Amino acid sequence: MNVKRLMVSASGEDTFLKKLLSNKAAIAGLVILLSLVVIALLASFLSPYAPTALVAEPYLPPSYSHPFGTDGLGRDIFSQMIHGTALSLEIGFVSAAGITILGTTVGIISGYFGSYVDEALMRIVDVLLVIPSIAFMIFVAVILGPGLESVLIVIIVFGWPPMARMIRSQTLTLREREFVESAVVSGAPKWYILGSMIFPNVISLIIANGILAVIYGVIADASLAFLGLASTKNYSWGTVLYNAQNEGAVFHGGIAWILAPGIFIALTGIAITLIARAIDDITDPRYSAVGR
Amino acid sequence: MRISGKYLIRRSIYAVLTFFIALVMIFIIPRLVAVNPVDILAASQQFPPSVTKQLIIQFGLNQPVYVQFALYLKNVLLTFPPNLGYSYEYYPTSTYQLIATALPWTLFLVGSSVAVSALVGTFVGLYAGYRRGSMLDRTITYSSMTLRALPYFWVAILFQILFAVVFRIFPVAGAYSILDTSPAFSPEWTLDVAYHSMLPMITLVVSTAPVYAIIMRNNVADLVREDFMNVAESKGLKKQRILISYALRNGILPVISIIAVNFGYVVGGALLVEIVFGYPGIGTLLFNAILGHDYPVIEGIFYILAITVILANYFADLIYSLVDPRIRYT
Repeated sequence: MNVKRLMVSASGEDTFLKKLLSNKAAIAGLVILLSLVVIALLASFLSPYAPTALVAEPYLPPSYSHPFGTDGLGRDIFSQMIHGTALSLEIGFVSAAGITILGTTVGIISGYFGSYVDEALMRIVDVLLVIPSIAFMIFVAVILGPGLESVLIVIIVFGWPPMARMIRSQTLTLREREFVESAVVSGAPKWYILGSMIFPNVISLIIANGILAVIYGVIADASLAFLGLASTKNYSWGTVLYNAQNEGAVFHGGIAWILAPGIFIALTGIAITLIARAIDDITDPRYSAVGR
Repeated sequence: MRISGKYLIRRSIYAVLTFFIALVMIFIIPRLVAVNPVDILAASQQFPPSVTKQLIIQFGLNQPVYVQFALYLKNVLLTFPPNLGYSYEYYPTSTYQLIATALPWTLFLVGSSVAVSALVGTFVGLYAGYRRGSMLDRTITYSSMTLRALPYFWVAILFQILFAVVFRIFPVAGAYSILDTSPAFSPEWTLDVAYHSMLPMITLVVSTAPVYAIIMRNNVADLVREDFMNVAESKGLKKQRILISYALRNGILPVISIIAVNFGYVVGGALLVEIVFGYPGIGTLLFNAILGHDYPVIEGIFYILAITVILANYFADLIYSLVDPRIRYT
């Protein structure tokens, strides 16, 4: 009883965190995501070999010492996957952070200030939405050359517009609400209205979409890596899959080699969708980011 | 059923503007990074010196940037067929010729898979939404969410292994069999092409149909609570009639608009799927161009893709405004 009390906020309503932790889907998603994060953080302890070390004969089938087998040069694929988890999640979270900051800033400014500021920003968003993003990402990555920085830049530059649009429409409806209008009438400064009235009310939308941006980053990186446009010095899940395709895993019975990266990407995607969906259900049951 | 003139004009201006910005990006990005524009268009060991000289003059590569841009516009916009330079690897084939051969395959793949996946997704979503909360609804919703989280090209590799290597139902790769000598568009040829396109198409349908299914499901799940649906049910109308004339007609509009929004993604996904199946479209051409640092081909491909996607979006919006009368007055 006491414990339950502690988790209830002063106003008597359940806190956001409590609601999230009593949602089965959210717990499942958090458990999967946290396990992946732990694997990523402990990568150098968990992986039995260095990802680039030649440790055994090439194209070995899965065994106790090499759970996913070895690649065309005799490197341990299990170790590559563990290091890949670290890099893929890093790219996912960094690009999600970039997308969230850019998308939120543009969305709130555009929605709140309206008129020509809104018009100009939304035209940019429209253009970026219409231009085929994967294709342009490839184009820019080719020009910039393979590397972590260019991958992050292109993912962020082409990733923020949908988020900006969503935050903008939420801000627009908030601006018309009575409590904001009365603050405007009573002469509250703009930064105060933006900071303590608009922002707190779009925060759940920001979190839900920010989390979804992680999987967007992971898949975009995998696509670029699959085209050989990511750095081949470091392993991400996409690099492992690129090698599997290029070194003919299919013809050497390397099924585990092909399955592993896809399953890890899928697990990340499922975990993130579950969490984002749960946040949506809690904050606004009618709105669904999943249907985006 | 008429499009208002004002909407048509405004939408056309946006399309042209978007296209122009895309052109500027294609022109500027390589020049921001590359040391010398000659590297992009004319610097290949394969070109005879006379061709290099001709390209430098045609594209003004030794002149100031604004002259280069003007000449670029003249070459790609006002010339037909567009002068996109020559391929480094396949010289003397022009970039335009390479793209013109590859583009129909990609359009065929994207067009047919968008049609099939919108149809499949809409009906699956319709049924799930109508039975919301049921076991079937949950199965459909969660499997759609899972499928959406998978990269297109990974699904392609799995299908290739499963249906072409393990069970030899479909061909491993290509768009037609090399041994088949029947002329183009003959019945045998058409059948062969359809057979070869099955796996890439199924891959794209499996990857994109969930998007439509989820949206349709959410729309219909909301609609079911509306009064007119209750009235229809209490009138004793047949389930089929309720689904088609009430739920489908009201729930399908957002799906149509998503088809347009998603078109760019599907094209991007198709590029990667083509690479897996060695399908001779734009994706495979792009992949080989990336491997061979064939910059004129890469630039040309993005020019064509920008036009294709912007045009598709433009027409999709016009069709949407015909279907949904509300949009005409905004």
